[in-house]
Amino acid sequence: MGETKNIRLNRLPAITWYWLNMNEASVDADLEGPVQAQAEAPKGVSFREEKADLFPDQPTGAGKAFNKAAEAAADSVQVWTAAEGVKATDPLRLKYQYKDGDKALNLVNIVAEKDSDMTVVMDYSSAPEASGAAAVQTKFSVGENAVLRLVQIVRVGQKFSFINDLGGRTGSHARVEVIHMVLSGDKVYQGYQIDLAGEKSSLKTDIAYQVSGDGHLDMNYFANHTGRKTECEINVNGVLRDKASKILRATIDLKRGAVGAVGNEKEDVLLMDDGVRNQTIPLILCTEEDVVGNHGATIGRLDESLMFYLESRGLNKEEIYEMMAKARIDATLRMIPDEKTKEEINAYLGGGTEDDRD
Amino acid sequence: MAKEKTYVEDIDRSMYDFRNEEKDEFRIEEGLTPKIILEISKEKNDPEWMRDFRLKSLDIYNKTQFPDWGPSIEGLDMDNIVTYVRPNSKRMAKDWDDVPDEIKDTFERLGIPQAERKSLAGVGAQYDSELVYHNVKDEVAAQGVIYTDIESALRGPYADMIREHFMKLVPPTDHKFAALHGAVWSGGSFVYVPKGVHVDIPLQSYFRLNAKGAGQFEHTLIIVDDDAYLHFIEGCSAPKYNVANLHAGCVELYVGKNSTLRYSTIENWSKNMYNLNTKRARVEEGGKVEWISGSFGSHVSYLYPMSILAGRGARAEFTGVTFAGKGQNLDTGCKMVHSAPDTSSYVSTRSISKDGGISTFRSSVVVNRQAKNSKSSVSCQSLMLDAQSRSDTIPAMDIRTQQADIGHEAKIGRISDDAVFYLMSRGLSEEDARALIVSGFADNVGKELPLEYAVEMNNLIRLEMKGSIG
Amino acid sequence: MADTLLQVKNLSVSVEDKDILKGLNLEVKKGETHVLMGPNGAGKSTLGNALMGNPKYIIKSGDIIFNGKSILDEPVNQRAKDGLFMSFQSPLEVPGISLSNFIRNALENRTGQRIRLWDFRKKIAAAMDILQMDHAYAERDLNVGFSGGEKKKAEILQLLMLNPSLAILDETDSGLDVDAVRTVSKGVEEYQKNRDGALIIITHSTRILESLHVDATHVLVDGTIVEDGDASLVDEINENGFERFIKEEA
Repeated sequence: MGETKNIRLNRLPAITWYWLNMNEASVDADLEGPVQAQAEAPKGVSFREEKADLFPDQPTGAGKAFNKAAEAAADSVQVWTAAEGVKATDPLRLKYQYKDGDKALNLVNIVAEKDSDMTVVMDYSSAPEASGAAAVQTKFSVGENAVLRLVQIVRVGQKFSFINDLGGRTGSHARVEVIHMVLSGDKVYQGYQIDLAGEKSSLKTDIAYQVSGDGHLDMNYFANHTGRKTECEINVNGVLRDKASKILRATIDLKRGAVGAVGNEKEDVLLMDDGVRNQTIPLILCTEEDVVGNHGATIGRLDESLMFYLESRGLNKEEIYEMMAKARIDATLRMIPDEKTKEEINAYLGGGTEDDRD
Repeated sequence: MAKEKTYVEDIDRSMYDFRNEEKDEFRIEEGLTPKIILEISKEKNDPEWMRDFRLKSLDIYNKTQFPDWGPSIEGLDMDNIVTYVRPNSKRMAKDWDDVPDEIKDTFERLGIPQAERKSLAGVGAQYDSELVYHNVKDEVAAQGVIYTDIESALRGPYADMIREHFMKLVPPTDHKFAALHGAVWSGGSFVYVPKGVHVDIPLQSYFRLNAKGAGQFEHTLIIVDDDAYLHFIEGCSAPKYNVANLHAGCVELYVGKNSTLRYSTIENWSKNMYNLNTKRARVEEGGKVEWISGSFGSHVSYLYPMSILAGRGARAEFTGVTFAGKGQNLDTGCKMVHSAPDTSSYVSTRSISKDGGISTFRSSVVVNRQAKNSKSSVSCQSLMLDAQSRSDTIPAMDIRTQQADIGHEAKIGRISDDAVFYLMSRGLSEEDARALIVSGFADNVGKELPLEYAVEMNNLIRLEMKGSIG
Repeated sequence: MADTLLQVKNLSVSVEDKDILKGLNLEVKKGETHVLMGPNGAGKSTLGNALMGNPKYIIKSGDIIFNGKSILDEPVNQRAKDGLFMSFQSPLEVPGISLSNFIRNALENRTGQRIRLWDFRKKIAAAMDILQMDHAYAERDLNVGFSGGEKKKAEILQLLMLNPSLAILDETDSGLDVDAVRTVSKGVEEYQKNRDGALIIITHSTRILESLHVDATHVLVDGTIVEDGDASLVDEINENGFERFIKEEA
């Protein structure tokens, strides 16, 4: 609607002491119309545009307030569907390229119907010096036995802020694999709420981020287990440099009825410089007896034994830190199920493969 | 060490025997008023500064919100808060007959000697334990240790020391119940351990169980000077029954350079209690605080002992177990603040939820910018014994320096069927097997307690597992 | 002594406040193979770690002279550049970096020069063949998911590729089956013969030594060397164990 509103988002499903200031984030959002996404759709994946009020009621990581604001600000939703039984061999690639002054909002709905198999790559970038803000809210549903691989890459310029919000639901025996990469940006808000409702449905999430300069990354991930024998695995690897700051809220909720559910969450944060600030709050909520929940977090500098091992092969401290920082991002990059995207991001990261050098 | 627990005979008249001064006027007493605070202060013969302190705390109390992030406290009759402070005849359990059956049953099952039961239930006719308390007091006095009740110490040779430290670690501004405590605190212990003294025997608050104030708003202030050692034990496994169901105590611990203070607690307030306790330690250079904490009782608990690592190389260890059974909502954990270099914190907690009980582990580790080369390791494990209960883990970490090594892990699960099968194959009943497994699970605390406390704790667990405690 | 590579003089080392090495002396010449044996807890790993500069190991007194200069104040990576190498007993997993990229990186660091991919690939393939390692391992993340035997082979692969002048093998054969020991041994032999490298082989069993040429054997008990000998000492220990030395110590 074009007015700046202060919206609270990314709230913890179970809050804690206020003095910590970690319960939620607040943003001044002033969002207008959508940008035109460049789309490369494979055979079998169809597109249609719908009115915004047909956007499903699915909760997302950002929460109610943001959902309301998004619904009010948007007119339409882009819907991509893999019909029943369709196994799309190529990924659906959606590129969002922002420019200076943008205040864009896009709503996207991804539907993987029963027995389908779909990979979606969403790449958010901008001109390096562009200043502005944008948001993309994606909701998905994965039908019985279907597979959805969703890759979302945030690499907007250092003066550009971004909200990457996600929410979805699984049918029985469905599988969702989410890869999130945050490679640059000013203030980035990201997260999801995924309702593992279908029996034996599973979720794997690999997140890698690097925040530098004065950047700030605010994340809220919520794996909501309601179905029997549902599983989730969340891995987060990050690097903080200069004066960057980041907060990760990661919740595994094993609700009554989710008999046999398993939830695993693991975070590793590499702190590179002394001005950084890392906040982590990994929650496990449980009301069911027959479950397994684990989470682990390692935060700080490189382990002494590791340093010794690598130094004994001749590398010095800076080299080791740079190598390990790159390794964390590369490890997730390599999981992207799309060669084209992998190469492009690798080039963006200044990599070139080791083999390219000759 | 005395084989039987004994306690101080409450020879003072309770401050609760107030008379309404304005007999001719019809007075409605709502909430806490400055007048009531002044009356309390006068009764206690407070020095002027303490009187002013109480009034200021009342002011803060009135201006502060209730916490809304934790278990509901709607069962607390806050409109009639004055009755907690000045319980009227309707509220006090007058005699043994008024004590609920479940409490009496528990005493029976835990094998509490008859003579102690009434004291624990706060209904008078105490067992004379004055002797034991005084013996302990004399023994440690020989080492220069001061161990006394805090109220009278306010006017003794240690008055200045107390004034310097009283509610500086936990200021009334901290939260609403700290403010309440500041206004109406009553009773408690003051301990001072001089430089270089290693106190051989643990001091126990149990000795002072029924001293003035009946434990509801007691204040414990312990100052351990440099190069010294003290082990202080608070509480016991038998439930402490009180009709007025609010406990808003406060514990402040000061640990000097290179000293160690071990603070062990078994909290087993009766199941009608709202236990809103605040405990905090400040540790100087090279010092160490060890918290050993078993939380079994209360209807609702808010308990997060906090350690402030203020000097280089300071260290804090927190070992805890929380057992939430039917009707209980126990929100417990700890807070660690690293404010100096080379500091370290270690947390190991276990929690058990059963019969609809709710157990929440809530923690924070804050490493400030100047806390270079700090280490922190938090490990919490939760056991769900059925699908009616709830167990939540809400740990937070805020790290503001690169030179830190921070690790955290949490696990939740159920009793392993294989383990039960194995124990049963050696002859145990299923019930005993499960109780044994849970006892083993609580071992992180059990092995840190003096033997008789560990035995008591295990008895308590067995009883909780059998569901025989109301 | 122009061809003295390493001199350990009266070295005392403690770790976690415990004194482990007490006044140890050792001299290794270029191309020599020394075997260091001893019962568990004698301090063998401590020596390797101390030579390599592990910060957890505190040098209380004594000196370590490598190539004529004291390396006590040298950081770990500098010692590696000088030509020291240690094969770790429990190699760490390093996700995100492939085995081959890591080696190439380390090599370029050492020589200060870029290495042509094609040459590198040939060299590493040849080394992997000696160790009978599946070439696919080159692209796998360093030690991630490797079995114990594969980790040890990866260490010896690094040894062959980095070509140090003195390699310390810390219990390289522990946890390996018979075939793996043989293969690893072959790799060490290659280093010994064709690269003219010096070795300190730390072990408490002798399996790895079967086909290796040994110049000297030292028995370490309780932090000091209680006996020096030649290759025949290895056979004696094989037969009789360490009893004699412990009794003598007592």
